[in-house]
This record gives sequence, structure tokens and C-alpha cells, in this order.
Amino acid sequence: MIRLENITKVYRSSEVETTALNNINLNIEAGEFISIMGPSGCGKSTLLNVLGMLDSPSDGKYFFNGEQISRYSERKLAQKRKGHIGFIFQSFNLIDELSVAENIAMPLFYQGIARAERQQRVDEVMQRLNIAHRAKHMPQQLSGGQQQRVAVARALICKPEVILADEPTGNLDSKHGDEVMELLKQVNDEGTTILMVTHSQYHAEYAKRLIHLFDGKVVSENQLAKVAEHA
Amino acid sequence: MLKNYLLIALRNIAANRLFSALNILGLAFGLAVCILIVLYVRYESSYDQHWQNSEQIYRVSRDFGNEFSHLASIAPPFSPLLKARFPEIDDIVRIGMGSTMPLSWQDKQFNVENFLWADKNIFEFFQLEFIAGDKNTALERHSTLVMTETQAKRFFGNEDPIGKTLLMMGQFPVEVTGVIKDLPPNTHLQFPMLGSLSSVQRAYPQAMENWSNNSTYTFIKVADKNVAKRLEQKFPALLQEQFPDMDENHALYLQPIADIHLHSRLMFELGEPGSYVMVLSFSAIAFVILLIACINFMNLSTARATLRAKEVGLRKVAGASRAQLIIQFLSEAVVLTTIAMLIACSLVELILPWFTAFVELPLTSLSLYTAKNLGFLLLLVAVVGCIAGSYPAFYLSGFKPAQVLKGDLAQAGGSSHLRKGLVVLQFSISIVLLICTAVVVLQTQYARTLDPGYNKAQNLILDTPYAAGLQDMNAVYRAMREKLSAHPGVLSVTRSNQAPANTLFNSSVYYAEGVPRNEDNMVALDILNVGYNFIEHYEIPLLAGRSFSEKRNDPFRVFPDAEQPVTKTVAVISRSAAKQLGYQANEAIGKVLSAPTGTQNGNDFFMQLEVIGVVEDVHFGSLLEEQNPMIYHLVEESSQNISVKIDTDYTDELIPFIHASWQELMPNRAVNLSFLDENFEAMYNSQDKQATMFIAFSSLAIAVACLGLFGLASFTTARRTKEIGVRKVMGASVPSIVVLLTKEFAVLVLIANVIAWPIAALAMRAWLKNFSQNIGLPFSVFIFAAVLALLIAWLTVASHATRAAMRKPVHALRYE
Repeated sequence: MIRLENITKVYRSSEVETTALNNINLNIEAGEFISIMGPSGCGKSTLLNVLGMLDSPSDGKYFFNGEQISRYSERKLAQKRKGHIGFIFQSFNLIDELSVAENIAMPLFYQGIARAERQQRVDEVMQRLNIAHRAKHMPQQLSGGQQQRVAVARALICKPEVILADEPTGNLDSKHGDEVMELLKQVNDEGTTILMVTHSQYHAEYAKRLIHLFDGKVVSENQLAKVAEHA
Repeated sequence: MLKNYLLIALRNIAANRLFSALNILGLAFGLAVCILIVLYVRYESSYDQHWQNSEQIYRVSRDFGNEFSHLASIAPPFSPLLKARFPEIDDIVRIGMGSTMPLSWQDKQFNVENFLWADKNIFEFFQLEFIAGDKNTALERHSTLVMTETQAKRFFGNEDPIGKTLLMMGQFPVEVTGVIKDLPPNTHLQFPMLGSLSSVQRAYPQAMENWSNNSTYTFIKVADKNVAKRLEQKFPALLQEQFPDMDENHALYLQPIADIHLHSRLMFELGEPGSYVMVLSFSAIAFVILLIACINFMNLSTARATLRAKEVGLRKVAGASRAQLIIQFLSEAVVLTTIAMLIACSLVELILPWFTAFVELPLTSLSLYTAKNLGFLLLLVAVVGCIAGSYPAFYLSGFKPAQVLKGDLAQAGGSSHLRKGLVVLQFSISIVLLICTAVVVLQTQYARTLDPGYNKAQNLILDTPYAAGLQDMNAVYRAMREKLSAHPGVLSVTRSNQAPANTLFNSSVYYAEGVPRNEDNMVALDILNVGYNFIEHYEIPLLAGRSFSEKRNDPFRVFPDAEQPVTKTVAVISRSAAKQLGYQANEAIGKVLSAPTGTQNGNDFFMQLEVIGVVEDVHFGSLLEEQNPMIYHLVEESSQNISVKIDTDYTDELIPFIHASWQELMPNRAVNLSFLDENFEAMYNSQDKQATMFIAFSSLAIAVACLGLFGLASFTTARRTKEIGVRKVMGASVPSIVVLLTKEFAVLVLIANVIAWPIAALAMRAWLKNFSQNIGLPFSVFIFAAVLALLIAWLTVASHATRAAMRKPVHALRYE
């Protein structure tokens, strides 16, 4: 489903050149749940941004569903992104001025989906994530865990093939963190591919596959399921 | 500490070049306009203040004839009467109305404009500086004149003018008895030469004793304001005594000489009066532009707040008090304003030559750099700096360190209502200016398109000097008409004492037939002296009766004199004149009007004028002025202006032909040729200038307001960076983000319209009342201003919003 070939990302400022990603090769099959780990500054978020088409690689090839998209313009990437990829952020990134329901409906709005259908799908996803009673609340009125549930709902609303989660439990206490991970696991079980960056070994182990990055390179890959099998 | 503040201020300016540039530029424009307008206003208010004891000099003015006749001049016999009756008048002097005077010396011949007459004590009265001659005796005798230095050079070069004899109107010798220094430009008493009033006394003795002949400007000197006030209270009794049957409109009053230029707009003002309304409106505009620039500064500074928030937090953590931070930010504002002031002064130097040419006033920036004015400029810097810096200073210094250090910039947003309010204010002002500009421009254009009532097309005007004796001019006109009429390109030739496209300067009092000759029955009519076919020539519609006829031998006007105290002639009057006299157009025909012309030895002189026709009202002057009721006199000598209607196919050959014909009749005498339609256009020059000024200032106000809007847009965009990022990640397109960001400002501009419209409507309704014919207040002007303001605001914000929306969302979200 996703294939990265020799992906490199270099940031240049006037004097310093930083290689954030160095020759990454990665193959992701549909339905996988992958955790990406590594120390700060190793390129985890950059990798996620490239995968999420929020940033273009400096070099290398990115195949999404067989289509080579690494040279696509910002506009084309935005088109590609729509409806295929859902995002979850550490700091939730809900829009303060919009209510819970409006935040969740936003991706549908930008896909040009009619109001009635939007309403219906928002209701569905809120029921599923158990936040229906919060529909009219503003984000600041919710706890961190609830906010992240809203963010997950927003990521799920357009039924994406892939969800990219950048430290989704980073701002949450362990109880709420666990809840969100359970939710993601459930989503993955229903067939959505999930890529998650995390610092938490514990939460990383919800995934089926664990990738370690160091200085922009993949240094190890574990098929957690197999490890567990052999343990 | 101060040094530290200054250093930080300068570093901040350097670090945020765009913002600093916008801030400084906005303020610099505001200050430059302010300085220019201050120069203009100061000049306009400086008129006639330089005379010695100018606060003791008053002009005596008169309300006379009817309720509309407020005259700058009074009758000559008032001077001896006032002097004799009121010992508190220390001195009194008369200046006689003049005109363009043809004067020649040897082969030099000039038409000297604004030639005036004066009593001999004028030099003592106004302390005019003599270069040559004796100021005590210079105008004692008749047939003498005193000229300015410039005129002396013009006529005599380096020769001594004293004792030389000039020929007036080609026939009357006058002796030069004095040369004075040129008058300063800022006085309403502008004259190149003064003839002795005793010459007028000798030529027209009865005119000098005529109480209805308001032909002299009379100035008095009194000890102080209170004396003047008490004196003015004694005038009604004096008038009552002198004119027992006078009507209630008759009055004399005093005007301080320094107030005349800006505040007096009476009939027969000497020189072009200044406009107090202009001075006021420009002062208001200067204030408003400066205010907009200050608001800008506030908005731009708070726009940068997100960048400064961390600094404020750190300073507070390090122990800075709020007061210290306020001082720091205020000093930054003052530093910026100082830089802006330096640029403003340079801008003033750059614009001044253009500006002085434009306002036609000798303004200089030199007066800016006196110690007193430098103090004023410094004060202006301090005040503007503190006003502009106040809001950012209090706002920035109020950040709570814990929150801003955590990166919570929502709190740094502060009161968005105030900022939005400021933008609404800026745009309200700009929209008011836009509407005013549009109305002024439209009204000016409209005046041109108005039908003056006469046919102005295809007319050439010959402005002929009094080159020879007046009787001779009649012969010259007849000969000229004969020559011109022979040309196939000449359709018609006529004459008048004033050409159309000039405000009529003669007026007199008339009585309807059979009414008692007292002030209640007086009707003041403007007079145009014309030749036989004038009315046909200009296609002025005839309502009743007939126009002047050469075939019927209509008699020319004759002035009464001692031999013939009552003269008879015919006249044509305008529709409104008939109405004023109490007649319908048809009724007026055959009525005999009488016009008193003076009294001598107890005998009343007057003319009897039989009305032979009534014509439609036409506008000879600017259509923006009220046209007074008027009367046409048939006058033999009224040939100063010859109108030639031509076939335009012949224009090119006719102009040299006319010059040549004139030269044949009057060798070595120049004639001025002009096209009537061009003269007509020229009447609106001052309105054009007003319009241009409005356009310039309102463009500037809007430009400065847009700088502020740009700042606010960048502020909002910065605050909504995260939101933009999130929305883009969720699939928002660039246009949808731009719409999102610009919508907010569109709403502000719409609110500004709601505020601006009634203000502009009130102001413009008042302004339009000044014009007898005006465009009303077209609604389209308001829509135009709204759309233009919206468009400009939208472009300003959209440029910014587009840039923000085009950025990759990852930049917006990368703060973790």
C-alpha cells in the first residue's frame, strides 16, 4: 500500500544542513499497525509528515497505492491526502472556535459532502466513540482524553485507509492513554492501517510491527506479533 | 537604563524590518501631511497681521439695498462723516475700487491689473515703506500715482521713476510721485499702483458724494477691541439720523483687518478671499491622517505581540516591573516616531515645491526650522509617539509570564474587540473621505456639464484694452465688426463690458414704475452692458417683448449729469429681475424703471429705463454661484469684450486674421484672444484643485489605513497559524482558507460603512448647499465607496492570507 524507496529529507538553513531522514526504505501493507520509536530528533515526526504528504522528501520515491507521489505539488498532495489519510496529533489540534461536532465534521466539509450526510456520519462516529453527549461542547471544556477522542473521531470520519498518529498519548495520563490505544487497536482491527509515533514502549506494543529510527535511519524492525509468538 | 531601552528599541526595529518599515512609513506620511497642512494653515491665518498695530485696524462694511447685499465697500462720503462724528477714530483711510488700467510710458504699454485709488494718508496709515518720493505728499494732488518697486522696474528699468508722466487709457497724464516696497504676499490689499483718490473726486464729483455708490474700502484705526465694539454700537443711530427712511437691512459694521482674508466673503471683496472652510477641512484631514497613522502603529505593534510575548515573559521573570516595560515600549514608539519625523521632514522638502505650486501660495519650509517650531516638532514626536505607543505598551506589558512562556499565545491575543474597533474607525474615516472625494469630484464635473443658459460654443473672446479714448473705442469696435463680418468664417459679432464666464461685477439699485423711491422698494440688479445683438448672439431665450434693436434706433444709455439730471433709455431684464420688481414677464414690458445715480447740489440724478424685453435667467459666472437677477443695458462704449462667433472650420485662419485686423485698426496694441469654452472651463479651476486635494489626501488616508489592515491581517494570520494548518491537513483548499481569513475583515469594513455613511451624508449635504445647482447626494457614491473600500481591504488581506494558506501545513504544525 505504501512503499518508500531511498527517502531522504534534508533541512537547510543558511549555514546548517540537517539530514532528518537518510535513505529510508519501508513497505507498509494494508491493515498493518506500525509503531515508530526513537530518541528525540531522530526523524520520527519527519517520517510521519512525509508519509502523511504534509511534507515532500528531498530525494527518493514514495509510492502510495502504486502511484509515485514524491514529486507532486502541494495542491496535488492535498487532493491525494483528502479522504485517504487521517491524522491524530499529540496536542489534539482541535480548533478552539468550533464545537466538537463541527471539529469532527470539518474533513467532510472540505470534501464537499452535503450537510445531511455530514450530520449523519458525525452522529455515527460520535456514538461509536462514546462522545455524543459532548457534541455541542467546545474543545476547552473537555478533558485531554476526551479531546483526543474527538481528534480520533475527526480522523475516522472520512473512513481513511491510513491513520497517522503522532504521539497520540503523549499529552494524556496513563488511563486516558490506554483508552485511546484501545480505540486505535479497535480501528485497526476493523481494517484501517495505522502508523503511530510514540515514546512509550508500552503503547508501542499495541502495534504489530515496531520500527526504530536513529539519526534518520531505520535501525531495527520487529515483527512484534512473531516475537510474542516465540516468547 | 534609557540607553538599554534605546538599544533594544533600535535592535527591534532592525530585527523586524517589514513591520518597522510599515510603521515608520505610515507615520512619516501622516506627519508629512500634517506639517504641510500646518504650513498652509499658518500662512492662510497670517494675512494682514504684519501691519503695525494690525489689531487696531478695522474695515467698515455695509449692508445695503436688500437683505442679500452685504458689501465690503461703502460709499465715499462716509469717511468724512465718520471722522467728524467719532473722535475715537484715530485715523481713517479710503481705498477706491479699481480695475485693469491701461498705462503707457514712451513705447511701453501695459494693462495694469488691480489698479486702485487711495487717500493720501494711506502710506502713513499702513506704514508702507517708501523707496522714493515723499510719503506725506505723494497722493496729495490729483493725477498722481505711487507704484511698487516691481512696477517701477517694469516701466522704467533702472531709471528714476519720480516725476515721470504715464499716460492713462492712452490720454490722461499721471505723474509718478512715489515708489513703495512690494507688498508682502499675505495681505488682501494687493495693488501694483495707487492713483490719488482726488483724481476720482475731480473726474466724478457727484459719485464721491453719492451715498449709494459703494465704491471705497474704508479702514479705521481705533485704540482697541473694546473701542471698536462701542463704536459699532453707535452706527445704527448715525444711519438713522443720516437716512431717516432707511430700511431695516441697512447697517454698518466693523471687521478686524486680520479676519478679512479667511472670514469675510462679502460682495466686492478686494482680491480672492481665502477659504476658512478649506482651512478647517484641511486641518481636520491632517488630524485624521495622523490619527489613522497612530492607529496603524497600534495595530502593527500588537500584531507583533506574538513575537514579543516571550520577551515580555522572560523580562518579567527576570524582575522587570510593568512600569519598566511600559517605558520600554513607549521609548520604542518614540524612537520610531523620531525616525518617521526625519523622513517626514524630507518628504515635506520633496513635496513642497509641488504643493506650493498647487495651492499657489509662497510657502517655505524655512519657517519650520526656527527654534520655536523645532520645539513644536519635538513635541509632536513625543505626543504622537506616546499616543501611538500607548496601547501596545499597556497591552504588551500585561502578558502573564507563566502563560506566554508556555507558548499560550491565545492569551497574547488580548482584546481583539479594541483592535477591530480601531480598524473599523480607520475605515470609517477612509470611507467618509472617499465619499467626500467622490461628491466633490462629481459636483465639479457636474458644474461643467450644466447649461449656463447661453450658447458658449464657437465663441472667440477679444479682450481689448482701453487703448484709446472711450468714444474712439466705439468707432474701433464698429470698424472691427465690419472687417470681421466680411470673413466667411465669422457668423456673428457682438460686444459687452464683460465676457460670459465671468461673475458680473456691476450692480445697482432700481425701482419699479410708480413706487416711492425709498429703501423698501429698492431692487439690486447685476448689470451687463451690451451691444445691440448680444442677446441674439448668445441665443438667450426671450420670454416677452423684444431684444435691443438697431433698426428701431434703441437709444444707448446716457449717464445723468448736471445738464441732464434725468436720462431715458431702454433695458432688457431677466426673469428673476422681473419677479423681484413685482412683475410677470409679460407685465414688465413697457414699464419704466428708475435708477438713481447720485445727488449734486440737492438734485437727484437718475436714469429712466423702459423695459422692452424679459429674457430667461442665465449664468454668466460659475454655475456654482447663485445668479442674481440682472438687467441688460444698451451701452455704446461697452466694447471691452468683443465676442466673435465663428465657423470652426475656419478657426486656424481666423485667429491670425483677427490679430491682423486688430493691428490694422490699433497698431502696436495687443489684443487678448481666448475661446469662451476654455474660459468657461477655467472658472472651475479652484474646484478642480479642491477635488485634487481631496483625492490626494483620501488616497493617502486609505493607503495608511491599509498599512494598518495589513498589520492586523498578519497578526490574525499568525494567531490562526495552527488552525490554518489543521484545516489544510483536513483537506481545506487555498481559496477556502483565503475566504476564511478575509471574511472577518470584510465584516469590519461593512461595519465601517454603516458608521461612515451618515457622517459623510451630513457633511456633504452641508457642503452641497454652497452651490445653487448641485448633484444632490447620489446613492451610487455610497455604494462606490463601500465597494472600493471593501476591494482595497480585501486585496490587502487576501495577499497575506494567500501567502499563509499556501504554506505547507507541516510548517504550521511544527511547534512541538
